[in-house]
Amino acid sequence: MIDYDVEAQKSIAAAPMPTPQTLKQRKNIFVQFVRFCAINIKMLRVIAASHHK
Amino acid sequence: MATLLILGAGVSGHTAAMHARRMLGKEHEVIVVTPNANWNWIPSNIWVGVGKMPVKKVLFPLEPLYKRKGIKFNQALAVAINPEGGDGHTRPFVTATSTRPGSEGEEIQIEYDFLINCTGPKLNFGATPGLGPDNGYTHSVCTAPHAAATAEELKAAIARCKAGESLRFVVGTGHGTCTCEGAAFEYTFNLEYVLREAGVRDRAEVIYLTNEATLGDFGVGGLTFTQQGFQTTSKLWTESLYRERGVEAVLGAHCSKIEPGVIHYEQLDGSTHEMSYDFAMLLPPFKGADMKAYDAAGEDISAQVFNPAGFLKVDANYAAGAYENWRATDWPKTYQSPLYDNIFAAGIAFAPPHQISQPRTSPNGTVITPSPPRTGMPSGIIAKTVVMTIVDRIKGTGKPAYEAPMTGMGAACVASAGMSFWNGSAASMTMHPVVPDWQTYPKTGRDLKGTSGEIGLAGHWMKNLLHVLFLYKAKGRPFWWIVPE
Repeated sequence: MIDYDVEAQKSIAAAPMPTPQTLKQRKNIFVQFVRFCAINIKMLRVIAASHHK
Repeated sequence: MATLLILGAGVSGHTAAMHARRMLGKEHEVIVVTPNANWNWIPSNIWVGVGKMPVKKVLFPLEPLYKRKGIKFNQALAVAINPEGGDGHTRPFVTATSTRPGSEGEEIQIEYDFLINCTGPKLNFGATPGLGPDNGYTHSVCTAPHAAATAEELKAAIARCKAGESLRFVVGTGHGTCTCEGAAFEYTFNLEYVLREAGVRDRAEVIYLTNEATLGDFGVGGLTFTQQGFQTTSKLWTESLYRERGVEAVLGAHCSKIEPGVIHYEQLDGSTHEMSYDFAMLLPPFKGADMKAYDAAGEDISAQVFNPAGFLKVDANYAAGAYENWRATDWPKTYQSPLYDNIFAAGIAFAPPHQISQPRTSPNGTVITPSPPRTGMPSGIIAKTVVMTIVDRIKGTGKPAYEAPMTGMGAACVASAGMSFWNGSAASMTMHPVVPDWQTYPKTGRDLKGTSGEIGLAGHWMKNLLHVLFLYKAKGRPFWWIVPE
């Protein structure tokens, strides 16, 4: 660990560590295909709300 | 016949030119003045910079496209605006210096009826001595050639690791007032990914050095969003990724000087430090294009037209004062110059009223606060909105100007964290609005329904899709305008 910014390292060390199951899900193509569709919908909603008439 | 002159052909300038040409009849002229021969899809420069994408995949030449579309192309650097004409001109005009090979330095003057300033940023490497690839000791991914050169240096650094050396890689912001922390974040995790892929991660220390006071600030004051039934923050979410990937961070840092192998920086508490490095990719701060403005008598009116950083003043409230007084209404809506109603600015070229993140200054008086990002989606939307206003004015519809305030506009942002179709990942974020509106959303500053964040392979697919779609759109392929900004 670097000693340049101890507080930042402490804060990072206290952050939630993803479990092996979470990491697997982040790479699982079936789960991720569903997430891909969900992200598309979320982004389209934001885009639709952002283009002014 | 009306002439619309657009300065710059980045995301905002090119979007403006393409929409203007589509919306205006052929009797009207659309002219683009840009010093660059090529259009660059800048978000993918990150992948070029880690050697995962050839530079030709993020560039294409503008002139053939503009010729096909009927847009006049001038490869030149705009140096002055005369909004009242003069010097023998009865109409307003812009003076530019040619950058076209063979006629470099030749001065041209172009008259206009409407002007959109989309000049983007001047990469201000000079703000920190020793910063940047040209006159300094650090690398950059801000332009395609910079990214390509950075990839070569990274390749050499990885070879050194493979030979048994342990190296320190520092990625981040090279000045206390930088913006685009998202790009630094992306480069950090793409770098970390290629180091792992090369099998040298155990010999590489990766450090993120940033002017953000907290991780996940991204220059927009951070985000609060809902995840699995809880409200969480981009700070916690980002820190989790740093912990998972073993990336260390130095926060609230202003680089004061870079020497070969040593970064000198000051932190928000006023302490000063030196950090050794073997490879550093540090983003520069931005300033406006070096343009002047003159009135009809030839008097310099630059101070009225531009802010001190060189960004064009528009319909924003530049007198908001202290952070406590900031309001959503400070932000511009029409992007029209208050002095000249035929001049507009879009993208980075407009002068923001203030930062989005809370401003912070060290006890030594050094400002260490991210500047407000206004690239990507907001940049394109603003450009299209401005064009719609100008088209109405040319057609004489009498309608009021269209509005696209960043306090009413959302943004979708995909930050790559490793490029691989099966093993890659990216942080997909949406935020609505870009600039928090604490009056409308008093709890989190943003609409929780429009604000989200998640990390995974799907984000990488999304980033790839955006690469393909935006290049398709930029190249003016059939039905390009269906792809939203």
